Amino acid sequence: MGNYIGIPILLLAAVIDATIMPELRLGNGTADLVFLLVMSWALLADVRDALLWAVVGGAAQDLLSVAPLGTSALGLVIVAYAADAIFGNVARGNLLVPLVVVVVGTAVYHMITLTLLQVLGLSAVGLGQGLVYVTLPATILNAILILPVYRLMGAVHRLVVPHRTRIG
Amino acid sequence: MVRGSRVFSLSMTLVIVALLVYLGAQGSLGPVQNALSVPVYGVQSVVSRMTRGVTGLLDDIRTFRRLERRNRDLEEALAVYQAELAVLREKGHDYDRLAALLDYNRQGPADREYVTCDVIGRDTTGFVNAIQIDCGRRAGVERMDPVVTEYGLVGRVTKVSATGAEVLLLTDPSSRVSVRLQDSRADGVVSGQLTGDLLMSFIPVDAQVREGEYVVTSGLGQNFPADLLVGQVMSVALDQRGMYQEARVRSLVNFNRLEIVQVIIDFEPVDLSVFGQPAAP
Repeated sequence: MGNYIGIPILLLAAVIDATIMPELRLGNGTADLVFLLVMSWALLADVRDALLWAVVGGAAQDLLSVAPLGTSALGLVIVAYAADAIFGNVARGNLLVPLVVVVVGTAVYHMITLTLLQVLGLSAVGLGQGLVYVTLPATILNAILILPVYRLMGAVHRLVVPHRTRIG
Repeated sequence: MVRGSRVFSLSMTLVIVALLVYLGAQGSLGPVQNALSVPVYGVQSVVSRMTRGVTGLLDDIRTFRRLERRNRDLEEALAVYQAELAVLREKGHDYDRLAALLDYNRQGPADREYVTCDVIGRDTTGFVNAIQIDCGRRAGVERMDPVVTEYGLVGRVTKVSATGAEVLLLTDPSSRVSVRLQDSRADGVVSGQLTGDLLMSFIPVDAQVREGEYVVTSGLGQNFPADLLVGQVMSVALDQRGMYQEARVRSLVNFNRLEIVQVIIDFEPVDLSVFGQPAAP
């Protein structure tokens, strides 16, 4: 159930990233709702669920982008796995860990995506320019949005993932 | 979960994603992407219309006084341009008469076939300046079609599905357009910058470039039709090596507020391969 509910959530998030988020830009950077949802799920759920969300979310973003299918997914998979491997499952009320993951993860994710776009010949943006004009403002916006997004995904996780209760 | 199992999950996922990227770069996933993008573009159109309504209202409230001043400035400029237009129209008539006499057939802006499209989204990677429009193959749009507004060249179609298309903007750093200065007739190449500016390079050092001079497409290389407005020269200087001049060009198009664009659907690049050169990309 946790995986299936991710599909419409991530598709809608990709559409929001392409339509509403560009209206809230800082410099050349915008908040990345798909990235925030995937990172939140990586800290709340099982690693396999997080990897699946990363693939689906990345593919949804690439449908609305010049990048070939799978380009965004690669960065999301690597960052989601690293977040889960380092921090494991984090409590829904934790505010610090999601913030740290998003701040570091945004930079790593952008560098992976930009490198892949350069290798594929789809971007002529230099690494330094990309960091200053795109990654830095995007990191600030992601850091602002992660707290409400993480709380919301915590509530979704509580609804869709069954809990074991001890009897006796 | 056992560590080995986690590593296995990661490895399998990375293999699948790498395969997706490889197949996507080869173009093999085109039919799949086309099928998936039809409903996605539909949803995007709806969300985009709602967003535009809200942002338009917020913009109006925020910029009321600035709009009043701008309106006054525009009315003054309009009066000047109307006088210029009258002179240019007369020259246009003279050109048509002379071209008819010489039997010279060149397609002008009024002869082209356009499809008007709504802008429904922007590229999500952040490193590419591109927009999505709600016209695709069903409307006659094909890859490499030029895209314009009444203020000038916007970019070129890079990806197209049945109901939508992706347009690489002129301001993208990988965008290159062969251009000409309208008065001095010097040729050069305009490329986009991540900051949103345009830079015209390879202008000969002996060309007399003046600020305010219009820049239009030259048609060289057959990437774009000739005489499409690109922008105006803001400043000019020698490049780093001193071998050419470089000019900062300001487009009249507001690339952050694109709402409606037109795709030129009847532009056919000339095949130059018969002369031993590769055909235009």
